[in-house]
Amino acid sequence: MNDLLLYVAGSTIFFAIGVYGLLSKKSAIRILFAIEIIINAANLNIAAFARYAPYDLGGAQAIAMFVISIAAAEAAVGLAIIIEAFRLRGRVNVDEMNEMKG
Amino acid sequence: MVDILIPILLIALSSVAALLSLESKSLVYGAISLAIFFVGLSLFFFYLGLPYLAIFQLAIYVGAIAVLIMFAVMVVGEGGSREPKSRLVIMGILGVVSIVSSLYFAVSYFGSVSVTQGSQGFNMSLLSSALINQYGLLIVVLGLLLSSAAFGAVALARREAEET
Repeated sequence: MNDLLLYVAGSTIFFAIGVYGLLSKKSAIRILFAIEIIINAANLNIAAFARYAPYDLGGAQAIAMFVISIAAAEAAVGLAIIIEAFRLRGRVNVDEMNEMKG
Repeated sequence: MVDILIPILLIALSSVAALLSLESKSLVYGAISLAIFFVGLSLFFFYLGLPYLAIFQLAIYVGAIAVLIMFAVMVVGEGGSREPKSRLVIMGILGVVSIVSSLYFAVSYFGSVSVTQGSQGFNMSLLSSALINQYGLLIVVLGLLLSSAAFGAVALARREAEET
């Protein structure tokens, strides 16, 4: 078993935990937690493959930094939407948010 | 032996923290567990020999996002969340099984390919030249995206204050 496989296995475990949270939780904040876990699993994958690539010109780290920045923007907007939903309804269960239903 | 042991310990620590962040009863403890998960990931990056990425992860995730989530949890409280239905838990477990089985098949096909860690370590000049020459335009677009996200978040938060 090589080392890269260990990192890919770890990344898969984190991704699976994130998917479990995404599918099984109803609280919007928990779903945001699960999305963050999934993004971090993808980032770990990028970093591990960058480290084991035959040559790395810094591109993989740059892409991982972009992923972290976009995750920050996503968390800011997501939390603002959650707080707005809490003001409107008093709870943040996603199965009760059906105002946009056609 | 130590080379294998440290990543396994880090995977165990981060997995437990990730599971606790989803399953803990209190959202505050969940947010703290998520911060521990972020620290575990940054230790991973340190161990992989990517210190700049690790410090970036610590600064953005632990310093900004975890604190932001903490404040949101303080505002929302428990958010009226209820226990999930067992149907949803079964769906989540099915998702986990499908992902782990896909990893198993991928390993059975590609697991025998031998890879070695790249000989070159962390090189700041390579990273900065990649950021400036290759991804310069992307950084500008990312800056615009971040500012629009900040404006959007402020607009969403201020709407209630204007209405009242």
